[in-house]
Amino acid sequence: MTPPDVSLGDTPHKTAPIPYVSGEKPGVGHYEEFATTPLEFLHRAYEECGEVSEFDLAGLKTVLMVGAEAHEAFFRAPDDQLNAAAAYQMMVPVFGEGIQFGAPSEIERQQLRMQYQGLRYEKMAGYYAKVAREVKDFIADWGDSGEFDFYEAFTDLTLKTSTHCLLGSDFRYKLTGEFAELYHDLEQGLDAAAIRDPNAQNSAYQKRDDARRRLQHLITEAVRDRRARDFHSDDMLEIYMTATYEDGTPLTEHEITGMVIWFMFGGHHTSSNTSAWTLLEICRNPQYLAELQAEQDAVFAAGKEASMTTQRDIPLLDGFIRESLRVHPPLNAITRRVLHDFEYKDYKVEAGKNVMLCPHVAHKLPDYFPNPEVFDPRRPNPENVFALIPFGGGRHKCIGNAFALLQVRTIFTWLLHFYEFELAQPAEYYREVMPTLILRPSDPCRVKYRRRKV
Amino acid sequence: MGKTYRIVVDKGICQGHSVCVAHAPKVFRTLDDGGPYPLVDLITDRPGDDQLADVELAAELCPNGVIRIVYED
Repeated sequence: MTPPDVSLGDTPHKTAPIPYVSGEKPGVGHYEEFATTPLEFLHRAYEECGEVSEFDLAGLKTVLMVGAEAHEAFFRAPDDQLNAAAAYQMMVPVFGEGIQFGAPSEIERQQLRMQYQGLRYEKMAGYYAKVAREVKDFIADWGDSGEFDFYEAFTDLTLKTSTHCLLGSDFRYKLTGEFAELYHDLEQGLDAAAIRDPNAQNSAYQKRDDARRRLQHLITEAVRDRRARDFHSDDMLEIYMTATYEDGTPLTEHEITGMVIWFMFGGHHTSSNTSAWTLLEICRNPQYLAELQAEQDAVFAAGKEASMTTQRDIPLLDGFIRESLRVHPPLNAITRRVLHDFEYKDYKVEAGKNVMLCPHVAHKLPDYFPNPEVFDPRRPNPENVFALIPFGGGRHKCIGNAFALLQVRTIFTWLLHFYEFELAQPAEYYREVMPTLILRPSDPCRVKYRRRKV
Repeated sequence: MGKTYRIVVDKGICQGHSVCVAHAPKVFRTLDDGGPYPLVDLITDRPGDDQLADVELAAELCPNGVIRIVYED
């Protein structure tokens, strides 16, 4: 006789232990390896343990999740379970208290609505002309041939394009080298140690705080100047100056500065690095050059060089940019703090730990990207939208992603129409390095250029 | 007769960029539910043949890959 079926009620869910990465050291766990060679470490974690692995960043237990299915679970989890704000507190001294993750989630939501106002599709058309004008000025004195540091050049160019779209022509043309230095100082405050304690006493964090104060001074001057002249413009600063919270309160000068820094941090170095990698890959793959040039020449012939183009106008260039984002994603530690136990398949990640995604690891999975080591600008996007995550995903996905692609496309439509490029060093000299939280090519980033005969 | 099709949108990954609204305004709109951004909403999930080209463009250009077209025989 069979026993009565007792399995209909709740049975305790059996969870499997999360595979643990080897090589931890007493006291610091895997922190030293993560801080010095983060990408190598995260690849090793995946190779050793698979889809889910756990490691210890000096007491902060972190679980790496890899693959479209895991990404989807991560991105669809509610914010009160997998929380971005708690995981990104190192951004608070950079943007300022009371801004984004330094504010209650209710305020953050309203601030995000304000950022969104400037990134809607209908706003984009006006940005093309501004970016095009900057690129035109950028190459105006290049002459027939030469050599340049493309990392520095794209840092400079995207600072100008972003500032132009963000803060308007009036501010942009008063832009001095000081502005770039201040952003640089802010960025230097974002090292691996900031994940643990962004308020530690050291000279880098002191410079970060000084830069934040100075930026507030400069931006506040611009705001007051506009108000005194009753000047209005079609840019983000106008939006910040006129936006109100739902209770009718406008943004303070401290908050306006924070919104500017937030926007710039989202869009500046990510775009400059994507431009740098795209140029490198164009040089490394000369077999596509004639077709790339023909594509951009057609944009100019149609008179669309300063207006909206889509991936239908420039499919090969678009493919180069997307593939550069796949192979060399700028941001490689997308993190959330677990506030309530988080279950994925047979695993349970307990509250208090961090969960992390790493695009650099995920974008090399052969299941989604056959022959992942091959740079293929014609590679189709994977069916599953969670496989390719250079901009993150879900509620906190980078809302500037369309703006970023617009900038990089416009930059290369112009560059490829007027110039040809060639690496100044052997291809293997250009390596991936990650001195701050953003992946960049190693120095020296030299490329030669020669004017095309068109 | 052309292809019949229906549209499926994943609101969970929409951020209201409104590219779809610009390209196929008879099919897509956005609704503001007070979240960080308005979200896509379908005016109809079975638009006619005459809308297919616009819907395909909207799906292709959506920055978040929100729109899926299901072709039916």
